[in-house]
Amino acid sequence: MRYSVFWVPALMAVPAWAADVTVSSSADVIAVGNSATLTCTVTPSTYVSRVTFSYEDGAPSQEDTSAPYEVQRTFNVAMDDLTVTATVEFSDGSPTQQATVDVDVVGLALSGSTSPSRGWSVAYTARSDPQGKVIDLFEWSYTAGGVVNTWSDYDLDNNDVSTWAGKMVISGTLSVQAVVCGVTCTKTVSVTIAPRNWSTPQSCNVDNESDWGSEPTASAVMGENRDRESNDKLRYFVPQANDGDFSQAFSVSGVTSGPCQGWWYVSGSTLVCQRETVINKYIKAGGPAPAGASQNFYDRNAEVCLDDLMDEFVQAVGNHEYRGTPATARSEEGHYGRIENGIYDAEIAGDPRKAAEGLLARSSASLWSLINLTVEDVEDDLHAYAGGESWSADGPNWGGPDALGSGLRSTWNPGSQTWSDCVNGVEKF
Amino acid sequence: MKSALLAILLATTRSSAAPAPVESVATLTSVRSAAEVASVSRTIRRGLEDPVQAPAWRAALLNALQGEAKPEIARRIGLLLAWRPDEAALAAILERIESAADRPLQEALADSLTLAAGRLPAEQKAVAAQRFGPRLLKLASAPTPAAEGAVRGLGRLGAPGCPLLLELARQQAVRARHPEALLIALGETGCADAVPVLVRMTEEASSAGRRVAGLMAVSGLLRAIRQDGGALSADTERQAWSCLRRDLRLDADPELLAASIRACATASDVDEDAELAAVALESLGHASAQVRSAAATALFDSALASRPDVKELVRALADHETDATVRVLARDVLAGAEH
Repeated sequence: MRYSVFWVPALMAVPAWAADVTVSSSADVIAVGNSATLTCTVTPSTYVSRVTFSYEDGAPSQEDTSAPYEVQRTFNVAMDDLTVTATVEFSDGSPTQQATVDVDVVGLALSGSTSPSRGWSVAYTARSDPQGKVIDLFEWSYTAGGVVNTWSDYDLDNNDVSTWAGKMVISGTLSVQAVVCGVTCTKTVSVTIAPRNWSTPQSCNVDNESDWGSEPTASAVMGENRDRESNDKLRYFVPQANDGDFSQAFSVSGVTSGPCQGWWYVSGSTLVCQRETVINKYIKAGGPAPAGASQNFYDRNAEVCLDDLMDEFVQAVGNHEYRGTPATARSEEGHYGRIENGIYDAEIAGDPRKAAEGLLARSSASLWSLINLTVEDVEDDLHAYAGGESWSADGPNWGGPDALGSGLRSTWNPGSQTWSDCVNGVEKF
Repeated sequence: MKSALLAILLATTRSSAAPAPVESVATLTSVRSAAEVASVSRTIRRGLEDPVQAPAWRAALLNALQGEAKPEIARRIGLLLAWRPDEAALAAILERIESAADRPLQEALADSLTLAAGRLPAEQKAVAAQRFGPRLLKLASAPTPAAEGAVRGLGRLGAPGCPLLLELARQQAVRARHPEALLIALGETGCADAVPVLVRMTEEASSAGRRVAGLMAVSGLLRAIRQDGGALSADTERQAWSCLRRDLRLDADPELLAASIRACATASDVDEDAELAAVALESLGHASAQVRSAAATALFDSALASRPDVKELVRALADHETDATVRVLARDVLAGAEH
């Protein structure tokens, strides 16, 4: 304080307009995203009322009203010779004075899709920003699924540009680091993989085997909904070599280069749900009579039990296997409708191709295990929902009380070669 | 035994962090909506996959199955017991079927019996076949709603179930009642002795649909035998391939040609089977969508699919195919070929 008292009268002799103004930066080269301290020195600083720092890159200006006149600023835009201007205002009415300093703000530019579809090849290219700076080493990393893949490119082709390319299969964080003009620069982006729009084709051929069915005994099966080729009702998704083996329905690929190197993903699928309904030939109009009988099931029931309802009876069996009455897609009143609904509704079972689309692993064997488990899981959910028969409350085709399926009917006894007329049918379609 | 079970149940019930088996299984018996059933089922399946927790989950399911009389609820429980079963689970399902007074309950558990037999750990299958084989055989032979499930279960026991299944296949009444279940089951045994029987049944199939099923069963069987490192006699091998290739002709019935392409592709490597590859390539332009679909599926994931001329053919299907399923399939084949 005593010094101030001593010096102030002495400095008062120098007018403000004659002050010496300079501005400096704590660093000549600044990495994008980093900060520097900018200092304005005014000699003498007696009448300084405010120093305003303004920037060529258009960033908001900053000001300081007390010595030391300095600010900290983070530089986010790469630019060669970015001019920082310090404008000094004085309280004694002297005109403002300015001083400038140039700094280089450098960084890395990174190009390449950040939302590629899974399996797309993407080339990520890094170079200096602004372009044209010498870079000797690019250090890349990709962090995804708890795994960090790295690659060091020593720029042996001397073009100061680096490209890391490969199929992208898993979302993660891509980062590249390099020394530009003496400072370490890092560029990081998030990569979000877009799932492919996969869905499992479904079809059902109705009443597909005219020769199917056995004699209409009390335990005969009236109709069935099943896989079209194997005739296996438990097999909802094919190709399926053995139970739970979907190796023929999917292809898998290992990524051999780029950020996702070492990851295995599902590259394609031919999985389908192809069902058929079959109706017992013995119950149809004109169907064969059981061995030893003079009448077929249709005529016998029309005569003694179901009167003119026989066509509805056969239709009810067909509708039970297919899409209910009337036939409606995703109807809960038919096995195939339930299959459609179960695949459509992820809360019930979901679409197995969709479920498998995003599966990833670090080895082919692990991926195959995941695929098989995933599809098997969906298949079990679907079977639990669509394969049951005790839905008497859900419509006329399911065989509840008074329904055609479990109502009275005549069935054939092969042992005694007689009909049991108008007895309760079994709930088995 | 009872106190051990009780201890497991109590220990699990006390745990608050993870879903409790007893409560979850109890929920399974009360929920009705499909989404709720699926949600609880998934929780239980995850529990069954955890080596530490699995015994408690299985115990809860076994306990619930014993007293359950409603077919639909018993079915839910049975299917879950069949997810990662052990011998006790298979025994419980079998016993519940045998003791069930009403047919719907037997029928409700039939699929669980099949699935549980198939999903038993490989090392337990031989013991299970020995222990439960006679009962399964008896169940399969009788005209009951669970008979088909028992036939299928014997098939899924694999090689240990093979002699029992072959015995069953000799019974005319069973062949008449469950012709397709026998075809499928024989195809699932992975047993060389089943090949001649299965080939004969396929050749004798009374309808195209049953022949198609037979082709699928034969091809699955050949594939399984090869994967297990098994071998067939030269004569049996010749008979089997003759059966599979009989309809591998462009002028064959489309349904059978399609099945033959799929069956041959299942049993062999398209890249190494010149005849199959030639027919499959020709079939991409077949008049039947079913055949085009089979051809595209056979070529999927083969080296042929990457060949430029084959890609062109498949691309034409992907762009111009009128059948939506084949169009989607062709696109999938292309996508696979480009990877």
